[in-house]
Amino acid sequence: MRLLRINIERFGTLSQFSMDLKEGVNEVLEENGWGKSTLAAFLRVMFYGLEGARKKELSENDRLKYQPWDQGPFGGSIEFEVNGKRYVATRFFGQKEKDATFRLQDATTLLDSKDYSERLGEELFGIDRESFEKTSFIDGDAIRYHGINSAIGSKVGSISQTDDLANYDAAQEQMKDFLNANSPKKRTGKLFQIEDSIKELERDLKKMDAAKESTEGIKQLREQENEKLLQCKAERENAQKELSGLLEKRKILQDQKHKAELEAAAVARRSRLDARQESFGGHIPLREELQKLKADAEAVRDHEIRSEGTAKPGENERLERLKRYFRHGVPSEAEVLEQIGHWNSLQDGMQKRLHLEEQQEAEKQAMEAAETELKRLEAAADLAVAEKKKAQSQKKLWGILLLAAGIILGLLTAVIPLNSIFWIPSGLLSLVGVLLMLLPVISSGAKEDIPMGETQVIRLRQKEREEKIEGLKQTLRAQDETNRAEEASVRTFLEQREIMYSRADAENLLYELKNRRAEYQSLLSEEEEAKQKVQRLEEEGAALRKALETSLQEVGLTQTFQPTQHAQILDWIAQTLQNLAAYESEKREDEAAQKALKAFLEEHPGLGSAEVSDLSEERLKEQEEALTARVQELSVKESGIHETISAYGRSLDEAYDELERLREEQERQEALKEERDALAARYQLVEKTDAYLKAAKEGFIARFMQPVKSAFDGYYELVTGRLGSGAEFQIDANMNIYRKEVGEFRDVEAQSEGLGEVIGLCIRMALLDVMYEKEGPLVILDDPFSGMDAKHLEGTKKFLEKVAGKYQILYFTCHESRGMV
Amino acid sequence: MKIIHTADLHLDSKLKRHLDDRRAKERRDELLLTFQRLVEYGAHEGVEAILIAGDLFDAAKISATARNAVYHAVKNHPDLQFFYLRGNHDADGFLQDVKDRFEELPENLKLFSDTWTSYELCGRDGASVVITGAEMNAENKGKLAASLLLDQAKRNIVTLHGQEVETAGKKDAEIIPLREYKNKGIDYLALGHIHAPKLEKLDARGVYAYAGCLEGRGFDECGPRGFYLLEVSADTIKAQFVPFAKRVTYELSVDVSKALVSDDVVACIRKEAKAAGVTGEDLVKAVLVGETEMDAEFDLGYVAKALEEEFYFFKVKDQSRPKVDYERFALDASLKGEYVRRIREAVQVGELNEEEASEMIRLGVRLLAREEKLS
Repeated sequence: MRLLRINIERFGTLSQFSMDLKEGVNEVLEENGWGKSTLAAFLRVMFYGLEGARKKELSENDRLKYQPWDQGPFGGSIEFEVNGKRYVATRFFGQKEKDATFRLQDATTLLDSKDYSERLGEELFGIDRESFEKTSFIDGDAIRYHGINSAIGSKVGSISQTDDLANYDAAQEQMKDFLNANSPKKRTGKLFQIEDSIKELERDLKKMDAAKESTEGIKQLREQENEKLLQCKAERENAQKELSGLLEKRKILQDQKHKAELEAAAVARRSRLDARQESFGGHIPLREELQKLKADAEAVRDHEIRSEGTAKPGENERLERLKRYFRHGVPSEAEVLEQIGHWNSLQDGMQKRLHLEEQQEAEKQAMEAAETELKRLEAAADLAVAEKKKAQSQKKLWGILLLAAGIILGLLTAVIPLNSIFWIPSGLLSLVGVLLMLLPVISSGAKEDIPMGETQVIRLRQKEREEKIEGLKQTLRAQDETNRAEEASVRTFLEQREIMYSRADAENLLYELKNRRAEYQSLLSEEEEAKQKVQRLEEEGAALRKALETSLQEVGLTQTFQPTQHAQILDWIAQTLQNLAAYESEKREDEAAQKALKAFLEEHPGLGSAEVSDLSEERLKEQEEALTARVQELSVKESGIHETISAYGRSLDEAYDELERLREEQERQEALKEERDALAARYQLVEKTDAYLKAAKEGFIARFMQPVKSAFDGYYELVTGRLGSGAEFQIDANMNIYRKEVGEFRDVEAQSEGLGEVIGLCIRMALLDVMYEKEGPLVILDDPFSGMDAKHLEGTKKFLEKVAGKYQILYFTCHESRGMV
Repeated sequence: MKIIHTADLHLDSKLKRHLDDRRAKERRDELLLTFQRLVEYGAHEGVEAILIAGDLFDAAKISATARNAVYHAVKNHPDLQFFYLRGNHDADGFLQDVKDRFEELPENLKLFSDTWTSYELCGRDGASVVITGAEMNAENKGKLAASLLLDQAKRNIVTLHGQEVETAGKKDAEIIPLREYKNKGIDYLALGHIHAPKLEKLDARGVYAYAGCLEGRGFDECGPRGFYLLEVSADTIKAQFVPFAKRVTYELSVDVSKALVSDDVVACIRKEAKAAGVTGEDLVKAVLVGETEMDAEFDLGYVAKALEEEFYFFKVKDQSRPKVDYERFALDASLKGEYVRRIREAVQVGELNEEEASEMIRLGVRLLAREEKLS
């Protein structure tokens, strides 16, 4: 790669700066403060972007360091050539990272190019920024060599195209972390912790034997208690058995007593029964016989009662009275109804008559009223005529006056020459006057007819009334006739039966007759029925008495009772039934008792021959109580042992739990051991891998160390001017440089500033020589010789000449003495 | 007459070694249910006795659920006789619990003690067999074999719980010296303690068998699990293994020599699982073996995730080794080449063995290629 041009817009103290570069050394000789370091930094930034974005120190943060005061955008461009092709790379930066821009153009066409990205430096040089700073960028203030990194090492060993060496650091870091995290020696290491846990579990597991022993011990104790329990149970059972024997004896005693009681009771009952049997007089009647006798006696009794209650013929007083009532014969119903009809007709006739009379009276009154009215009307008519005549006179007078006025007005109008219009009122007045005079004449004839018509009507009506009244009279007479005939019929009918007639009572008498007649008929038929009934009863009674006699015969009581003595018979039956019930009850009791005794004897077959205890019941009871107490005592003891066994059971549970816990711990320990072994194997593997990789790396680098040493020796001799002076130095596999002093190789970091700078310079160039076998990067020397001794300055020129043959150099210095061109 | 020989059910095991809490609980329940299924199977098939040769439970103290389930399974099948020999894990927890809770043991539950106890079982078909057993401990172990006396005219089943050895040597209560049980008239020696089924000849007359556990509980109990179904006739006792486990545990050895990436590994595991007859109900541990290419990349986490839904439980372990072609690196001028050459030299001089060399090479190369994340 060859840098052709630098254009700085704004970057730190530099602004609007341009510079063309050529092959070989491009010297910038400017005073301090001009911005040489800034220019060098610009180039670094153009290839690698800004550094230290998150750093707060100005010196470590490119943005803070090179941003203009106004915090505006800053940057620029570079033009460079690679493999014959020219490019322009432009970068600008702002206040934030995202404000940064990068553009790559083909310098010929100025079209955008994608041949390189903003990782320009990595892509062009194949090394990262750090590596670039350690090699190509030689800052006089930081020229001292502090070793290489993997990228450089990888570049140094770039024969292989793999990234192994570059990834070695990361791999080594991983292994280191793994070994740290899982160390068996560090407390924080997992292997240490697992081992610790295993030991802790081991300590706990020592309790296992004791736990097992304890469990066995508890089991044995429980077993002993179980045996005690069995013993106690056996004792209790024996005691219970003895108790049962005692109870048995007592029971036998009681049973024998009971048997004797039962037998005595049976004997007593038997004698009572015999006595009862005798009370029946040798024959115990059957219940059915007694029931039949009772039924028959009751039938006779009931018959008697019924007979007494039945009415006898000839005993009905009412009938007798009716007979007397109808001694003159009993009218038929039709006759009675006919007379009632007559009477009703009479009532109607009377009503009619009354009505006629009322009519007649009304007519008469109307006639009188009409007469009065007539008189009034005539008087009024006379008065009206008089009035009318008076009115007519007045009207006539007015008429004359008006006519006169009219004539006068007319004459005046004619005589005196007034307005002709006055002829009209004159004519009108005259006309009205004439009409008034004529009006009475016209109306007199009509008015006189009115009063005359009304009275006529009244008179006509009077006449009619008179005729009507006459008609009513005739009707009345006829009605009276009819009424009389009706009444006569009824009277005759009643008197024929010696019933006194009176108009006021006639109706009642008729209805009474009617009702009595019906009653009489009814009573007659009742009497007939009664006769028949009495006869039937007589016959019935005889039959019932016969049946009763038969029943008495069956029970052998014909000598004792007559059939008519039903009450006595019933009493006797009631008494006998009671006795019979008592007898039957006693007999049943006796049978039950006999059965119970038999059952008792069957249940206790050996009772008769059972050994009677020589102990009294009281003594037996005492012994029983003592044994019961003993059984109780043993039961309590048994409960106590049960509780003890339960307690041991609980303890055993706890012991089993503990054993289980220990078993689980044992399993956990085994699992941990497995884990430990697996991890330990892994740890060992990683450890060995780490060691062998480290060795491989060292060997790998060492292979490429020789070219670096040779190159270093060459440069060192060039700068120092001393041939073979390179032999004073050693470079190890890690690219650490040692210088022989006082027979020993010592790390050059301890060297003086002047020599340190020379070494730094030479090793950097040596590394560059080995890293870039063909085309090398731009080498930026920022006043690298400022700290060197004057004796070395001549050598530095030769140095520069040599490197210029291979590299494009950008050389900054502030002193002519160190100028190369 | 049919008899079931089972053992080592280890009911109420914690099972948390490989499984999370949820699945551990699930498997505990499944163990219990498998026992109940076994009893139902017996009832259904007309089995007359179930012989449990030890370790019915995993611990002396058991949960109420397990206790009740076993108790009721026995109680509700009065036609089935249960012969219960306690093992080293059982202790007397179950029996005591049942006595405490239910006051007495079911009548059809027959027990053994530390001396020989015999039961004669007469089958519905007229066949009969004598079942004799003893629970071994430190006190009786030296005397048991000598004190066993059987009526050789009868069919004899003897049951013990312990480790078979040809001759007694170690002072261990659970050792069963087989030689001492030969020619004693045993037709079938029903053993428990070893969790894999096994049937072998004992002597001219009889055989001995380990029923194995009824359900595998870990990857040391791989393969089909079940019980032995015995057919007892007048002349013989025949035994047939009946696989019965709800889930089978598999440890698959998967050759990943040709695999380059994790997906290849997944495919290899699937293929191996299919060939082995693994189902989605099973537990699988895949062990990667073989020599792989240097640049093969296997992410075990990815592989586990890819397959975890295909089985009830899945885990993978990598025991494969990278195949190192030293010649390939002979002229490799890179750091990697340098590294490999140094390791080769170390192997040649005996500082490293081949196995650790290949592991170191794989790790180193992957680290240099930034393809390894050490955790």
